[in-house]
Amino acid sequence: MKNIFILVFLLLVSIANCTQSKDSDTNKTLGLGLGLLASNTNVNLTFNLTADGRAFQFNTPITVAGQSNVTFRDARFYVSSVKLIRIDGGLSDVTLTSDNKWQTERVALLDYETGGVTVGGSGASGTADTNNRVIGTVASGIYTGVQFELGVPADLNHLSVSTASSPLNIQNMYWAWASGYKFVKLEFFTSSATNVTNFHLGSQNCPTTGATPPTSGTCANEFRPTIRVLGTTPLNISATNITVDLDKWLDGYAGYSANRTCMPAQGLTTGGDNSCNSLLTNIGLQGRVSTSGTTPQYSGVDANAGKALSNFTNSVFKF
Amino acid sequence: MGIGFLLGSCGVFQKEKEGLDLPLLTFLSLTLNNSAYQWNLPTGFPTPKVPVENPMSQAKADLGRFLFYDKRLSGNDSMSCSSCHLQELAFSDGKTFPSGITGDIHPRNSQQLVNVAYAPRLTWANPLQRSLEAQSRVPLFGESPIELGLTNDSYLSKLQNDSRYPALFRTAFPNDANPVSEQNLRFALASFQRTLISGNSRADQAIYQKKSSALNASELRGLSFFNGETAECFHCHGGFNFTDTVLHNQTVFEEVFYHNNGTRTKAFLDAQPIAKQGLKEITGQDSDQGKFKAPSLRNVGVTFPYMHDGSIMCDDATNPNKPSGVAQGATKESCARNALIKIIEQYSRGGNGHPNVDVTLIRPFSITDQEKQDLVNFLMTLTDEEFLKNSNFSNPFRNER
Repeated sequence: MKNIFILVFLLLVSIANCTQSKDSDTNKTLGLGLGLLASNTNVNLTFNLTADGRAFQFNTPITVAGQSNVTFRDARFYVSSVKLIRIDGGLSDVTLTSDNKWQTERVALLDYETGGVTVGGSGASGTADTNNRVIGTVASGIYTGVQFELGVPADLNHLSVSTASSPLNIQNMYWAWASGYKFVKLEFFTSSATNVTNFHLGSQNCPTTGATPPTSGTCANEFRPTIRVLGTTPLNISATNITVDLDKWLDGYAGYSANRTCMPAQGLTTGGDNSCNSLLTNIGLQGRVSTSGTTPQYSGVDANAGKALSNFTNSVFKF
Repeated sequence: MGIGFLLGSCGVFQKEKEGLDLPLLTFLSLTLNNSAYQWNLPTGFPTPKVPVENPMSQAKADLGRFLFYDKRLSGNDSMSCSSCHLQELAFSDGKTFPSGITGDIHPRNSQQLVNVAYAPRLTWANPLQRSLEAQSRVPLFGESPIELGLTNDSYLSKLQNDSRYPALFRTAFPNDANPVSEQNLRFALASFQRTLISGNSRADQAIYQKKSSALNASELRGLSFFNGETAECFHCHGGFNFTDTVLHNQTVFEEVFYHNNGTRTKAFLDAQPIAKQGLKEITGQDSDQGKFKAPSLRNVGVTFPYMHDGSIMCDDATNPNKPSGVAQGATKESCARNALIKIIEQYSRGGNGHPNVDVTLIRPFSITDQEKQDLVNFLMTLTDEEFLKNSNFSNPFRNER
């Protein structure tokens, strides 16, 4: 009996390995197979934002990546395509538990801001509610890591923000000019009067013809990084803590001397240059190509900006 | 006609009453509402194409008019849509670049909104902006630049607690349990903007209303020069809306064009922020640098400074950014004439040179001083004075605050 069990399992694994087409297809096959053998298990991922080795504090001057007195006025990002990394190196899809608030079945919003920070003459953005959890189910198994994308999947990225389910209906997380979501919204300053960095990650150079709104994932510059967090021991997936290390994310960032519009890589206003790059490269994305450290580059988004860096090892997200 | 249609529809309802379900009835009533809307279109104008999710109604347009002029639709109650879209300037603002509530300067010139109901693409060069319903998010919530700077939902509470709005929203959106919503606000703004139809300029009276005395001899010579093959104006500024990018309910093939008209050189644009480089900002293609939608020339006599960057303006200018748009000592008319001559001279010398221009259209041509004057005289007849003063589009709060 036990032998048959192992045989079926091996068969399923080999089928999965043969169909190397798309991760999700593979996972469905495997998920279905495993479903017969064992039920799904709850996944509970907690994303703990830290700075200077301590728990993140919103709207409070803190030290980040060696820079003192950095105040965050926004800190939110979407997580999607969540998968667990199996002991055999394969991936299993995590189905998120839709709650009409922080999660749909495919996308979750992590939110570390409590709103109320007024900068300049502009009103305060954000909301009091926060969320650091991603909750879902996955086929039972032995897992060693987590993989996810920072952002909203391409086929959901151009929804009507007014009619979509929460958390895809938050006006503040929608980039109307580009008709897509802000995948990441980190905003911070050392002096609210002179230097606010608005780091908004989102797809650019998307199709401008065809369906309204554009539906496919053919934006030239996706800016949607895939993050892999690997552990060593079998993961306790019912209570997994992931540190989001702002010291690593802002490492090398030297844009505090002026207001920066990092949307994501280009400067739309004064100060547009390549100083946003470290915020991108630290999460595995290529930035803009600079001809020198400080010369403003106005050529727009480079062809490869927002695509995956080769040989990238993530150190921002870790167990 | 309208009554006949309604009566006919009643018959249909009675005959098939038992088979009709609620969604179908709702759909039919929406369709009827849309058909019932009276456009009052000028002679020669097609009916605008309206998104199915937001059929026109007078109630929505009425609500949208209040919202358009309401400063509570900004982060600090200091600006409204109308702050950068002034009726007397055909809903443009006379400035080189407008600025938002925090002083952020917009990278492009404020466009007029006249006949925007016929625009299949909105703004100067963003082909993703396809409906007024979606586009208004940009000025309302956009952060680069900050325009009206709404960052949270407090504006909705203000509207909900207002003495006027709850009833206006309820009337405009009778099927909604909670009508005072962000989406309905945008839908109403879109409906109001679609009512901003202008088609009774002297040029219209001559061309569409066949009043032979509407244009004088010089203006008629200008019209013929405009439509001639020397200057080629009409290629990009043709048709009833004097632009080549239009959409209406008879449109089968959606034609959308962006052109580089040679206003700026490549070297100049290369040194500009991407937001000032036209279509390239959205497509990322070098071949799209400096390309913009050809604006409608209607009311061109009041929509200076011209071009996407407001770079063509009348001489002076001790005070070129004066909100009225007119430099000291000039009148609106003298300013427009002065600046229009500069445009004609730019085109007649073949533009300032850019690899993306269509050289069959943007190329030097000879033009006499008299022809320039005739052309300007004609362009000035495109102003619809009646529209600029039409009280249906004016500030409904003007007697209140």
